[in-house]
Order: sequence, then structure tokens, then C-alpha cells
Amino acid sequence: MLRILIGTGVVLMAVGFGAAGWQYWSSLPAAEAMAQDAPRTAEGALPQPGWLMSPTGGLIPRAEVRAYLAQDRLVAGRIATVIHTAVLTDLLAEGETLPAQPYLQVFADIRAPRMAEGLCEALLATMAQDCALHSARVVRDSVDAVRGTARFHIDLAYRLKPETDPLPDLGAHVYQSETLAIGVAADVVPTDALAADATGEDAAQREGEAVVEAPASELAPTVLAALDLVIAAAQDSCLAKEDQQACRIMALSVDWSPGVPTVGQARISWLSPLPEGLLQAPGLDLAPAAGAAAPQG
Amino acid sequence: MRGLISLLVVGATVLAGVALVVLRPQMLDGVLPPAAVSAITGLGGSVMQTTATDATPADLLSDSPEGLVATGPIAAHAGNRPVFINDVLTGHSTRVSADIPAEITTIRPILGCMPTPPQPGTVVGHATSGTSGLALALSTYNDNHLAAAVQDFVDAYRNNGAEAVQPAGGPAYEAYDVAVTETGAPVYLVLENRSGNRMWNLHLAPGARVERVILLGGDQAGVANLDPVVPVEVILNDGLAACGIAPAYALTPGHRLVQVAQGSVRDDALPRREAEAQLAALGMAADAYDVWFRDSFGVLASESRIGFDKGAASVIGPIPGVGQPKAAYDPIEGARIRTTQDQFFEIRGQVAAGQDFAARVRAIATDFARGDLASLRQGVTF
Repeated sequence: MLRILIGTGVVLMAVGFGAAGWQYWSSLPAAEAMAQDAPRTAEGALPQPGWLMSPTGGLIPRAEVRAYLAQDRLVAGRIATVIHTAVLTDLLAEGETLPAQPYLQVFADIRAPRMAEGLCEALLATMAQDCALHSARVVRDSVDAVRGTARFHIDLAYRLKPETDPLPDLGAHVYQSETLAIGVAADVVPTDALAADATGEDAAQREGEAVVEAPASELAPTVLAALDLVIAAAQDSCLAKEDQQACRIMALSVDWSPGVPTVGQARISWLSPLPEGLLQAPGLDLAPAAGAAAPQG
Repeated sequence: MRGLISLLVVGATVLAGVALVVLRPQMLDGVLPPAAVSAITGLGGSVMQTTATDATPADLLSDSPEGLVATGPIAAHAGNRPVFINDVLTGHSTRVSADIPAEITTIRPILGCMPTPPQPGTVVGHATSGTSGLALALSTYNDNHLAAAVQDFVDAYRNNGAEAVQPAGGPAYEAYDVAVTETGAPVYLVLENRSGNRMWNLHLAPGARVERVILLGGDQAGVANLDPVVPVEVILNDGLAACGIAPAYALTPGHRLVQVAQGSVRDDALPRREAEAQLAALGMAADAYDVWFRDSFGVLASESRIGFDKGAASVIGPIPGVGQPKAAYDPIEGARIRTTQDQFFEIRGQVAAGQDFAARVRAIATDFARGDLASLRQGVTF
């Protein structure tokens, strides 16, 4: 009798907890559930030592190091943002008409990925080895029903084309960054605008980073031309750096509207030799095994 | 074997008890008949009232940062003083979510800015409602509501995927009870709502007469259990705005804006000077509204107002004495209602398949996504 009671109790508990566990698992958002289900993949290894140093000797935040070094995959901290004004009828397929005015905003939001067409190709043609659409949304309250236009915010994740030269010794170089302002005065560019958005780092960590003004902006005829303009400015700026190695475009943004000079920003980072007064610490050797290296006496 | 059965019976009983405690009587909606649910709710209510026998109506009214909030079964009375609902209204119920009226007549807002004034010799009763939390099975909405719901649906879909997303229902009418205990003269009712869709449910004491009803404010407004011969005039929020009328009242001392303006509370988002300026502007708006209200109805809005910022009932007339009849609660179930409606109107459970708010939202989103909701998902997996 006692065995039956205990056995029944165990079965009831198993059923109860099993049902609760199943309910919990099924209530999880699909992505999270899948993530828990799938084996966790290890983060790709970064080139050793896996950390970078600023010219003042401080450590560069990990997210930024990953964005700079991890060029074998897409990372959250390396994003090209394109904001542009487009005609709503461009969202339509053949035979379609625009919905009533109250629905224009959500219609544009749902169809926004169409406004990213050609952008990845532009990145691939100039600087990227790989590119993927991360997000495409309509800017809130940007629909102009009278003009039939809206502003679209598109984020592209990318990885850069491989460089011909290998990375130098990371321990013997310092990491430097600069934000390039195109079509806007340097003193009005928030230094954290690009990278902090992309990496989630605290803006305070970027204090002191240089913001330089690029040559006067041009009137780009299309958003693709505007994107090319910003990329070219960033690449030119990289080439102009003295003693730089592995200069990389960490993030960029383009804001384009027809008939308006292009506004954009690009954040570039590179490695420089250690400045004077900063010395590379000697490597740490493994401690000898106990007893093996003990002096004989 | 008997032990196993006993164990199962005990387990099931314990589980049912736990479920009742955790989920409350709401879990029984749609399972048990409404009368049984009301009886169970009544049990809970009687327990609560037993434990609070010493409480006065004033104890159940909180002067909170959001304004005057009823925290128990109280109604607003003249001078915005609280009274127990049971002292003025018999059979009061807050279980209205499944009530279906028997007859619905559509009415339209008046043209112009001046409602028909009260007749000489009538008493003006002015009830105001904030939120009552008594959502009905009736809802009304337009393209703007649908578009906003489609956007919410799309955002949720992008975040959670297909299975986790169910479009919400349309904006429901919220019920608000008005007990009319004035029997000495016909009552000219001014029922003023701030926002959303309002259904004023009238409960008349024996001998009470209503001369006319004016519905002010809100997105849509209706009145239930009113004699069909009594005229109803409506000016909704957009009509008031078009007339340059902005209902406004002085705030109570506990209101957050007053507290910030007095320096009793610090709010980083609202500097004290700005709070003082807002309070001054509100005072001027209240004065202006008083003038319009007096010109329209012969009384000042600020003095005649009966209603809390959060509460479910107002009383127009005296509190019945011992032996005097109270107003009797008339449910919305089976009632005759007159209401303004938006572009779409629906009664929950009585809409053709694919024609309710949620189905419309899903259909619009699917159409915009060219038939493939999965295309809404975005984001690179880093």
C-alpha cells in the first residue's frame, strides 16, 4: 500500500512538474526557446591577445574590440545606417495602389525592406566582404501624405574585405579612432552617435575621440551615390593617416534626401605604433613545475 | 486502489482551491452561468465588507497623484463627497463584461456648440467620469485604431514571432453608473467623460424623472436604461475642440502636479517652475470652462461636478434616508441603449468570422506583407 502511495505521488509530481515545464517552455518567445534548445556556439576567436590598448594606455571596451577584430563574421557593433527619403509608390508591386491615409505609416513600415534594395550591393562593391539587412523601418511620423513620401531607417550589418597585410602585433600597437563628419560641422557631431549606438558602449568612454570635418558635402543624386560618397570619404581618410595599419571603417551613417546635400558620418579605427613613453610589457612565462626547477642543494 | 482514488480526490480539490485563489472568479467566466459567478463574487465581496465594517466612505477615497481614486465600493455624491454605493443603489454589480443590450440605437452629435438649455424648475445633475475599469462587450473603432493595432501587431510579430502574437480587441465602451435619487424635480443630466468610449448606465429611484441628457466629451458616448422619449444631445471631444471648449478642473491637493508645484515632491522631468506654469494655465482653463458651462447649463462646472478621477458611480440627488427607496440597479444586459458609433461597431461574440477587430488587424497586416507574415521578421543573428 505504502509503495502504491509513494509511486502515485512520484507519478503525480512528474506529471505536474512536467506540465509546468512544458507550459514554461511553450510560453517562451520562439527565438529564445530555440536559443535554449540549440547548442550554444562558441564566440569566434579573436586574434590574440584579444584586447587593444588606447594611446593613453587604457583598455578598449570589449564590444569595440570585437567590432574591430572579428572580421570573419557579422557583429552587432559594425553597422551601416542609411536614412533616406523615398516615394511611397516605390513600395508598391505592379497593380497595387497605396492604402488609405491612416494606414500609410504601417504600410511603409511593413514594406520598408524594399527600400534597402541595392544598399548591400553598394557596400559589397566598395568595402564589404559580406553584408546583410539587419533592420528596415519607416521613421515614426515621417510619412508625408501630401507629398507621398516617407523617411526610412535601414541598418546593414557588414564585414570588411580582407586586408592584404596581416594584423601587426596587437600588443605593440595602440588603437585609435576618429569620427568623420560629412556635410555637418564637426562640433555638432556627437562623438558617440555612431559607435555607441552600434556597440552599446557608454558615450563617456569615447570622450576625447577626434571628430574631423570632411570636405564639403556634395549633392548626391541618389541614396546609393550618397552612400558611395561617405564610404569614399572614410577610405580617403584612412589612407591619409600616417603610420596607420589596418585602418577599418567601424560604422557609418548616411542621411539622404533628394535635392539636399548629403549628411553622413563615418567612424574609422586603426592601429599605430606605441607612442613614446609607452612600452610593451614583456610576456609572462609559465611558472616552472614544482620541484623540477628547484635548485639542487 | 482506494488510497489512489483518495489521493487523486484530495489532489484535485487542492488544485481547484489554488486555482480559485490565484485566478480568482475570472477563471469561471464562460464556464459557470453568470448568476453562479456573481454568487461566488458576492461571497468575496461580503468577506471584504465584513473585514472593513469600520471603514467609512472617506477611507475608500484616495487623493492620489493621479487625482481622486475610489479604492472600494463608493460613489461620488454632491460636492464630490464619497458615499457607499449600497446606500444609494440596490443590487449594484461590476460584472458587466458579458452584458449584451437588447436594443441599440445610433445617435449623432449635435451641430453647434450650445446644447438645449435646462427648463426652469429642473435640477441640473452633472456627473463626470475618469476611468471605471468596467469594459463592456461593445466596441467601436475606426481606421486610425486599426492602423495603430496593425503597427502593434507588426512590432510584436517582429519581436516574438507568429505564435506569441494575437491582435488585441478594439476600443471597448466603458460602463459608468449614475444613480438618480432626485425626486423633487425633473433632472437635466449633464454626463461628462474625459476620454475613450463611455456608456452611461442610468439607475433611477422610484419617482425620479429625467428631462434631458447631455453627453459631453469622450471619443464616443452612449446612455443605457433611459426612457426612449427623453432627448439625448451629444458633443464629443472633437466637437468640443471644434467649439474651443476644453473641459478642465482644479486639481486636488494630492495630485502630482500640485505636489511638484508646491515643492513637496521633486520630479526630474518636470521642474517646479514648469509645474507652477502648468497649474496656472489649468486654473485659467478651468475658469474658462466654468463660464461656458454656466452659460450653457446655469451652474458652474467646478461646483456641480460629481465624479472621481477613478471610480465607477455618481449619485445625482440626496442619499435616501432610512425607509426611503433607493435607486435600483439596471443591468446593461437586455437594456435599451442609445449611443454614438465610430466607423465600425461590434458586439463581442456576435461578429461574423473574419469581421472582428482582431481578424481585420491580421488581414491588413497580411495584405501589406503580401500574404507572408514571416517576411516581417528582421534581424541578423550575430
